[in-house]
Amino acid sequence: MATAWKLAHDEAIECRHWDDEWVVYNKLTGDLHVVDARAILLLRRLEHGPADANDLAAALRRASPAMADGSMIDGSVSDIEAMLEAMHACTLVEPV
Amino acid sequence: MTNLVGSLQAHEFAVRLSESGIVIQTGRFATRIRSPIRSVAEGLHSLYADFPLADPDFADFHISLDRPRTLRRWVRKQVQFYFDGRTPFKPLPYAQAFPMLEWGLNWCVANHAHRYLILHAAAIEKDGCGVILPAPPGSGKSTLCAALVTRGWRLLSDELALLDIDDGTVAPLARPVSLKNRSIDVIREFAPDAIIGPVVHDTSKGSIAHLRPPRASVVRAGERMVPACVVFPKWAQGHAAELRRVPRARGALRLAENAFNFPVLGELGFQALARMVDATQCHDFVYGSLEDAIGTFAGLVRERARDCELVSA
Repeated sequence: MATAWKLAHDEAIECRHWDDEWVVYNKLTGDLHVVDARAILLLRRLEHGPADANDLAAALRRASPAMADGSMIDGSVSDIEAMLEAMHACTLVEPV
Repeated sequence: MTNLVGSLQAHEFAVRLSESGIVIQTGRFATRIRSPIRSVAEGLHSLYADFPLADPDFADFHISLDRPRTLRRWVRKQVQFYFDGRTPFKPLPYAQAFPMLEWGLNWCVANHAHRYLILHAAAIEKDGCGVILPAPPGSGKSTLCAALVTRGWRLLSDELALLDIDDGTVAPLARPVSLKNRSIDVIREFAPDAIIGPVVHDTSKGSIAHLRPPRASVVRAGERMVPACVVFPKWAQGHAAELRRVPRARGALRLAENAFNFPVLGELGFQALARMVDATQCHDFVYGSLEDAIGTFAGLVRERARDCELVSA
């Protein structure tokens, strides 16, 4: 069974968008991270509750037409798992 | 009429400094300084000549520089920095008293002025074009800053850019510009009329000398600046001056790395930083010649003026 993930802490992140990149500020650690639009969509989805990589891949596909530049957001389950692990290392998300 | 440091005779100034101390206004900070050390008196009298003497009954910071109050004073001649009677640093060789004063003043602000996001950066302005120059030691930041302020740019700070977390303006803190090693002769040659204090050798940063800030900058210590550009400078021998746009998200990260109190301010610090990034362009700037650099910065002023004309049209 796939691991479910949640935000490390509710309301612990603040995001800003400049050019085609996002900066995530982690209020708990005080760290800043530059991420792409896919990571922001994952974090936004997790704000609504825990999800596993399959749910998140589906959420990315649904969000794809909403991209401002018309590009498709692609994310295989293995890519998303790798992103979640990276965000876990930054104390942004954690397994349920 | 406001009394200036330079309005006192050198002897009278030294006596007052060693006895009751003097209160100097630097930007919005009033600092009471007391010291019987001659190099401190001479350095202050020369390099702070245009600064106002503030109300003697109030000071934000109370500091003194003196021989250590321990047995060590009899072993080797040293100087100790006292802040409210405490000693935040280890003593230094006696000859380093004036640089220690400057480092101590920076420490006072960096550790106590938390209504500002404090960037390790120079801040300058010309014709309404405010520029922040954040950079690690060795990048040529102070050399570039010194060169620009000797060519008509207003100095707000060489070392600590104070970004107000409420309104995003930069508060002036024009104090002497710290020049290190080869930069001392570079600026002497570039600006022969500039007043540079004595060279102090063998400090932890090498040889140090301080450039007296332009009077016009000291006089405008109450006028805040709105930043238009963030420029990350890097000196490289023989390199033509080159300004390259930095993606603002990357600029935000680098600004945070250069903010002394970013962890202290937390979310307020991030919001202040984000507001500045919203309103500025970020650039990397590599240069190998100060004259070329002056030309590039003149271009920033022209660009800013064009932008303002477009907005007003």
